[in-house]
Amino acid sequence: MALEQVKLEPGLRLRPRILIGLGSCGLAAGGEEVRSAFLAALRRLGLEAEVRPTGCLGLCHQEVLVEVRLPGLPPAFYARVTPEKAERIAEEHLGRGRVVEEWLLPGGEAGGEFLQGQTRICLRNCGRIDPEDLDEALGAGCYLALGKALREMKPEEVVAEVRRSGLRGRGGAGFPTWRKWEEVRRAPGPEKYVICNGDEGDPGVFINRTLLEGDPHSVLEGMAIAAYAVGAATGYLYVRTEYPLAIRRLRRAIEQAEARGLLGRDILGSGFHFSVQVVEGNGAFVCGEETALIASLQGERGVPRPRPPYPSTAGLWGKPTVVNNVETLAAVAPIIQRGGSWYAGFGQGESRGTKVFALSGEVERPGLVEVPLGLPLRRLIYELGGGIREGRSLKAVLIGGPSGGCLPPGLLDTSMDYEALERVGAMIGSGDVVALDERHCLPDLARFIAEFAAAESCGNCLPCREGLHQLLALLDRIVRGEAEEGALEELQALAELVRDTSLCGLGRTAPNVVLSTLRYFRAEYEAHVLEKRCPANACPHLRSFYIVPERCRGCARCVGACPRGCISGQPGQPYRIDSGRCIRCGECQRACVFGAVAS
Amino acid sequence: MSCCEQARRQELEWLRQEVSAARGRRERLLPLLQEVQERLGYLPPQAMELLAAGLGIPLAQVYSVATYYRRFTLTPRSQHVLQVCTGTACRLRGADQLLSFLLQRLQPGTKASTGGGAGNAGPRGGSACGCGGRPAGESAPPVSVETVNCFGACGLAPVLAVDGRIHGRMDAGKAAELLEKWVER
Ligand SMILES: Cc1cc2nc3c(=O)[nH]c(=O)nc-3n(C[C@H](O)[C@H](O)[C@H](O)COP(=O)(O)O)c2cc1C
Ligand code: FES
Repeated sequence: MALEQVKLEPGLRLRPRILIGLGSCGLAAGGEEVRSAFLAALRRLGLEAEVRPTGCLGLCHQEVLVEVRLPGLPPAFYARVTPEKAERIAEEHLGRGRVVEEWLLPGGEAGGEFLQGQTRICLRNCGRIDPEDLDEALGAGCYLALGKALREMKPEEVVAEVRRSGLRGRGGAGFPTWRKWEEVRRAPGPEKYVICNGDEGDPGVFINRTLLEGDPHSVLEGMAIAAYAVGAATGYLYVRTEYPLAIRRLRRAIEQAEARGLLGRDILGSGFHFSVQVVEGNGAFVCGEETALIASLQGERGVPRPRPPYPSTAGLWGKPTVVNNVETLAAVAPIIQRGGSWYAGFGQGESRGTKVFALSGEVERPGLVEVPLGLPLRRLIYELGGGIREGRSLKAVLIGGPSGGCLPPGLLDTSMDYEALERVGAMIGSGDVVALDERHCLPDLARFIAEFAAAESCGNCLPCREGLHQLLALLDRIVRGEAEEGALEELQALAELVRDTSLCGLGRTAPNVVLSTLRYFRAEYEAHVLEKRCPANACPHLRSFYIVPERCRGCARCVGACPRGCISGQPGQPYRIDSGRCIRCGECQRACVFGAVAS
Repeated sequence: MSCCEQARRQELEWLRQEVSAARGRRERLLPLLQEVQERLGYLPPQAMELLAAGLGIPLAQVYSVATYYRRFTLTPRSQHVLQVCTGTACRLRGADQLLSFLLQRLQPGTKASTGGGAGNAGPRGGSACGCGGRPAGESAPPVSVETVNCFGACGLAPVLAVDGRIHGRMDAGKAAELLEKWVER
C-alpha cells in the first residue's frame, strides 16, 4: 500500500476523546485505575467517548495526566487524576461540556508553559497519540520520511542530509551520526547491521523509555532510514529488561508495521527489505557500551573490547554495524522530512538541534523536556524545572549521570552544549540533570556513584576493576570521618589514574563525579577529613543526635523507636540519648512528633 | 512426583525442543536462558547441560555467561519480589529509608540483594500450585527484597516495584499500606 492511501478513519476526530497517561510513570501513579473509572463512568452516564492509552508527555510529577478533547475544541489537560476525579470529569466535562477548571494542569491550556517552553522534535508524539495503534502514528505523520527517503533519495543523499543537520549521538559520546553512517555505507560486503541502543542504564534517565513507550514507530522509522542509508537488511533493538512495557509496545509496533508493509520485505513497494528484532537486556549496565552490547547479542558475556576496530568496520558478527541511541534515531525522520538545515537551525556552535533532558532530584517539576542545545543550565532548572522544591536553595547539579560531573550554582549560566559542559568538567551524557539542595552531601554522592560504578564494572580491565573499589573504600573512609590528612590528594591521584588508564568508557568516566566535586566542593571534603564533620549533616557516621529539653514532652516515642535502647528518662520529663551507645540511625528523629531530636 | 516436578519436566521437554531447533546457534543462548529463568524462576543444572550440549558451547561457558548477568539466578528466586530503586533520583528522595524499612519488616537481619530487572519480576509461572515449579526441598524465602538501579520513573522517586508493578512517590507509610493489601491477597 502506498503511504498516501493510509488515511485516518474520518470519524476518528469527531468523537470525544480521552487520552490517559499510561506510560510507566502513569501506571505507577495509578493510571489503570483511572482508566477503569472513566470507562465505568461513561457507561453509567450513557456517554460515548474514545478512551485511549498514551505515553508520557514528560510531566511525570503530574501523572496521572488525562487529556480530554471534545470535537472542535482545544484539548484540556487534567493533572494528578484519581478515580474519583475521573468520575467527576466524565460527568462535568464530557456530560455537560463544562471544564473542571480547578483540576486543570497549572499554567493554562494545551499543557501551558511546560510545553510552550520546549522545542519538541524527538518527543513530538509522546503523550499525544496511542502508541499501540499504528493508525494514530500514521495520522501523526510517521513513516512519511521513510517513504520520502525510499522514493526520492539515494542512500548517500540521506547521509548528506543527516550531515547537514549536524546531528550527534545522544547516547553519551556525541559522535557525529553521519560519519558512522558514511563509514558503514562505504564498507564493502553485503552484510551490514543497524543496532538501536535502548539500554539506558544511567540511573536518573528515562528518555529512551519514554520514546520507546510513547512513540515506538518513530524510533523504528529512524532505524529503517538508517538501514536504507547504509545498506543493512537486519536491525536489532536492544532494550533493558527493566522496561517491560517498552518491550511489549515495540514488539506490537513491529508486528503492525510489518503487516502494513512499512517494515519487513519490500517496504512500500520499493524493493528495500529491513526487518527488526527486539532483544531484551539482562541487567548489566556495561552492556550499554557498544562493543559489550554486540558481545551480548552474540550470546557472550557482555564485556567491552578495545576499539578500534569500531563497530562501523567490525561490529556484529564482525560485519560493519551502525550503533545509535534511541533518541538519535528518533530525530532522523524529522530531519529527512523537513531537511537537515531546518534541524541545524536549532542549537549552538558544534551542538546542533535539540536534546531531551531528564530533570530529577529536588526540582519542583521533575520530568522530560526537549530544548535546543545551548540553553543555559539556569533556565533548565528554574524555568522548565520550576526551581527547587519547598523553597530550598540549589547546592549542585549532577549532569550526565554516573559518568558526568557535578556543577555548583556559580556555573548556572553554563550553556548546555557538548563543548561548554566538557570545559567545566561535566558532560551531556545521556541527558540527565539531577538537582541537589543543601541537605545533600557531595562526598556521599560521589561515594554512591563510585559504589554504582564498582558494582557494574565488568572486571575485564585492572584499573577499573580494582581502582573503583579503591576509590570506593577511600570515599567510604571519608564519609565515615575515618580518613586521614592527605586522603584528598590520594583521592585525586587515584581518580585520575582510573580515568586515564581504563579500557572502556565506564572506568574512564566513572571518576568524573569525584573529580568535579573535588574541584568545586573541596571545602566539604576537607570538613569530613580534617574536622570529621559533614556540613550538610547528612552522613550518618558524622551526625550526633541529642534531645532539646525545651521541646521534649517526655512522650517516650523515641524510646520505642530506638533499636539500641540507649534513650532513657522519666515519662513527662525530657529524655536523654546516650551518645556513646547511639548508632546514629536517626530513628528517634523520625519518630519524634515535636521536633525535639536535633542532630 | 509432586505437581511441581512434573511441571519442571514439561518445561525441560520444551527446552529440549527449542534447543534442537537452535542447534549450533550460539546467539540463541541468552534468549533461551531468559526463557528458562522466566518459566522456572531460576536456571537448574539440567537446563544448563541441555543448552551446552544443544548449542555446542562448553558447559563452563554457559555458566560463565549466565553468572555474568544480574538477571539470572542459579537458585530459585522468591515467589514474590519487592524491588526498591536505589538509583540517584530515588536515593536523593529517601530510597535508603524505604529499603531499611522493608528489610526490617520482612527480613529482619538480612541485606537486600541486587536482583534482576523488573522484566522477570512477576510472580513466576511454571505450575498451577504457584510454587514456581520448584523441586521439593529447594525452597526460597516467600518474599525477597531486592535493589534495582533505576526503573526510569525517576520523576516519581522514590519508586518501589511489587512483583514487577511499579509504585511511585513511596514512603514507609505508603509501603506499609501496600504490604498490608498485598498480604491480604
Ligand atoms: C559504560 C557505558 C554505558 C553506555 N550506555 C549506553 C546506553 O545505555 N545507551 C546508549 O545509547 N549508549 C550508551 N553508551 C554509549 C555507546 O557505547 C555508544 O557510543 C552509543 O550507543 C552510540 O550511539 P549514538 O552515536 O547515537 O550516541 C554507553 C557507553 C559506556 C562506556
Ligand atoms: S532513580 Fe529510581 S526510578 Fe530512576
